[in-house]
Parts: sequence; C-alpha cells; structure tokens
Amino acid sequence: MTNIIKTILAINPNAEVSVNADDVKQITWHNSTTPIAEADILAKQAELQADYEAKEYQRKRASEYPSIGEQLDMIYHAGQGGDAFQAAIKAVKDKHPKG
Amino acid sequence: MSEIRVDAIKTRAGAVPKASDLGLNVTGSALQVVQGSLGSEFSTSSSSYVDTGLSVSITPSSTSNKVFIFASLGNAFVGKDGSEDAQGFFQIVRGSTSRYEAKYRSYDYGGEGSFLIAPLFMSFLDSPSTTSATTYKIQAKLVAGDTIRLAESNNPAVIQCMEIAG
Repeated sequence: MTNIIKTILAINPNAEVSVNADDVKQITWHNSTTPIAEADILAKQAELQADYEAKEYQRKRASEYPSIGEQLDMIYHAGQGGDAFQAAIKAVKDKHPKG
Repeated sequence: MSEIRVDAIKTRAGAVPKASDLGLNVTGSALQVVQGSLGSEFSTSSSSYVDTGLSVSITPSSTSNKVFIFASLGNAFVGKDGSEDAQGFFQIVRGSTSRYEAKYRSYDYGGEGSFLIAPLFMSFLDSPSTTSATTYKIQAKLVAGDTIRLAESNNPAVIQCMEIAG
C-alpha cells in the first residue's frame, strides 16, 4: 500500500508534513503547508495503489529480463544491430581479440 | 589489619544507603538508566526540525553528574524518487537545546532516485547541571528528497539515558 506521506507528496510535492504510524489521522502540517482533506488523501492513495497494482507485469518483466549488456550481445550476434552498431562492436572485438 | 563486620548499614532515616551516602568515590559509575521507545514509523518532509515522538526523561541526582545519551533509530530512512540525492538530519535535543546533530544522506548514483535504509546510532555525553526532570528527544528534518523517517516499517527506535556520577 502506498504510504500516507508519499500520497500527500503526490498531491502536493512541496508539502511539509509529518505522519505518525502511517495513519491518516495522525498528520501534522508544517511551515504553512495547506492541509489536505483526509478524504482527498485516501482517494489519491487508492488511485496510486491501483496504478501500482496495474504495473505489476512491468515489475515482473524487469526482474526477469536479461541484463542490458546481455541483450545488446544477443543483438550483435544475431547481426540485427544495424550497420553502424555492428561495425562499432566488431571494431572493439578486433582490437582486443580473445587470447 | 582490622576488620569491620556488620549485618547491615542504613542511613539515619533507616533507608538503604547509596555508595555516595557512605562517602565512597563513585565518579564514573552508572547511577541509573532509563529508556524510551517508538514502535511505529514516523516520517516527515519538514524542512525545519520537528519532534519524532522518540523521547525519554531522566532526573539527575546531582548537578555535577553527566548524562550519556544513546539513540538507536531502528531503521532510519531518507529517500527521493526520480533523479536526485536525498539528505536530512537527526538531532538529540535536551529540552529545546540541540546537543548533537547527525547527517543522513543517500546518493543518486544512476539517475533513478535514491534511498538509504539502515540503522543509525547517535550518542552524546551531556552535562545538564540540573536535578530537575530533563527530557531528551530526537528531532528530524529534511533538506533534500521526499521524506526522512525513523522506526521505518515499524522497526522500533529507542533512546537511552544513563546518569554517570560526576
């Protein structure tokens, strides 16, 4: 669940606020920050949570993709990088051949 | 060589005497220890110091005694989504007087945002020069980033005060 203070900062990035126990009823507003209504905070929290859950597939994919380096290596060895890409990689490989 | 053997020593009032009542040199001895705790997360984005709720009160028995303050901030946290460093401060305060300040900072190495979550320990040897009840507390402020927290994810934070005979 997106916590209360992150929710408040999503509504007002300049808010100066303290939150105890991640409780919407234990909020202290500092330095002339205009308080945000509890209902608005909870509504925004639900929105952020829904967005987070909707992107679960992105997080799963990100954790399972090969590293960017491995992906680029696959492209090179498949000869699919385009002329400039293939030539640049080959030049480095030729400069430092395997021993 | 001579010996004194007694079954009990008491003050004139009949109480069990402290070492100092008997004229013994107790300088450097721990006289009492008290502890305060915070079991639920506190987070703030305030740019000025605010109370975190972690505090403890101690009443020194002599104005010449010292108070050793030790605070373990559970897991402290400072962070920023996006591409910036985050930085904040915690301080030990006696009453309204700052006694020790610690910087807590995360570094954005890759442009994806940054956070630091780790225990933070703070200590200070104070000379409050009073025999009145004295409150020590932890305050926090954020100078860059989104939030600074202690007792992060409800890992308890504690503050302890030890009175040391002066």
